[in-house]
Amino acid sequence: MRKLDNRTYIILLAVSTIFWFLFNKNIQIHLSVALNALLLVYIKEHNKAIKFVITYLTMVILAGLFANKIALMYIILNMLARSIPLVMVVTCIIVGNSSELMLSLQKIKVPKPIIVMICILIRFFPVLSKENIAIRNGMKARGLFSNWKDFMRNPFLVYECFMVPLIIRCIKLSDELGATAELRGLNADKKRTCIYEVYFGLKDICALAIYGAAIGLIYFGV
Amino acid sequence: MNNEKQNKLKMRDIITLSIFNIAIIVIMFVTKMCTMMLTTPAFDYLFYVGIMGLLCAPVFVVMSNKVAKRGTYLITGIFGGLFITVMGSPWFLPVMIVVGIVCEIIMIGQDTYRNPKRNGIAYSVYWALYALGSAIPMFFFKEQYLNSLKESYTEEGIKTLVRFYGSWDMLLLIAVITIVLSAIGFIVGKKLMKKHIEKAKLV
Repeated sequence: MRKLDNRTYIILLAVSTIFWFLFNKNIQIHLSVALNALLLVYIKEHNKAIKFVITYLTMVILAGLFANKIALMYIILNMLARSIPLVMVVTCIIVGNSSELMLSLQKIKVPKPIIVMICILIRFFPVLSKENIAIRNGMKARGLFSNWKDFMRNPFLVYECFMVPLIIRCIKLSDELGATAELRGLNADKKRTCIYEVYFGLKDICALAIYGAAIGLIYFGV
Repeated sequence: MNNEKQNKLKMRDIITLSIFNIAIIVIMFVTKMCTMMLTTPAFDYLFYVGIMGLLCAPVFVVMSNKVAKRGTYLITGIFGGLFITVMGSPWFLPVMIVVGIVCEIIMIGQDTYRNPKRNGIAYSVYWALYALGSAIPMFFFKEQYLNSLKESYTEEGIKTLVRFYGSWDMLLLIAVITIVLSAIGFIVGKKLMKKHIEKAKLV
């Protein structure tokens, strides 16, 4: 089964962002989480949907528990919980194929630099967290900052020892990736072709209509 | 003509900018979470952008010296805006694009990115405008903004928010703190670059 087109997700993201900004009751956010969970189930990302719903419920329940005791925790948890519906729609784009995403964005005439930026943005978060672990392992291997006391005692040194390897890794990664991109012809003026079939079909229009109707119902009905 | 061509961003530069900006975003996110969890709301409102500017500076200094072409601030601004959009404030993206354009105007001229003074000024202005940008909804659509926060904030939280983002004197204080902290960050970043990265001939 063909999944929805990436352009649909972008429109959905815009629509849900606008409504999300207009929502002012918690029940509306609850319902939009449910709606986006249905969307995730529809594109066969059941695990992600369940994870998001569980995270959201945990946050809301914890916020309820903290409500009259620690005001700060209440605010933080609520802020994180409120951003979950948007993160869910973004997830739809992230789990997809980046080659398809590039073609879809190219079709709506997004400039090439921005397409490349978005693709790197999506692909590089996991890489960076791996680098983070590698830097910490390197510190451990050299016996630096083996416990928390050392961390607290010289924060500037810790900062320097963490920042410099990170920057150097970033330089190396960008050099390598830049060379690869040029080798693969990303610099060329011609349009990029793609082996996948990408089109905006009836299914996308139906999905948009149903989603729009549902979110409108949530806003005006509740 | 040749100069004009050299000054344009190539694909390689865009990839460099993207990777460094992701590092900056991660640092921003960690800073925001830490200041929110570990400090009082008042400290958070006054200092968090300044601390972001302080901690992101080394990455930014290396990035701007490595790329050193027009558009660096604009792309940084777009990335910052995208990050905050996903975090839940979509109105911030246009603000950040405007901030990026303002910083690009500051940086007009030949080889300004390698000039520490000009770059430092633009860097401080970037973070100061970022801090002031957070207060924009308080001035243009205050009612709606406060209404949308009513359910997720406590009474006290909203009062603190209005106290810090709703009055000119506090905004001025925030801007001054941010400029000072990010300028310090820039100087430290410059030193770190001289000490490690220029020695390794990586820039």
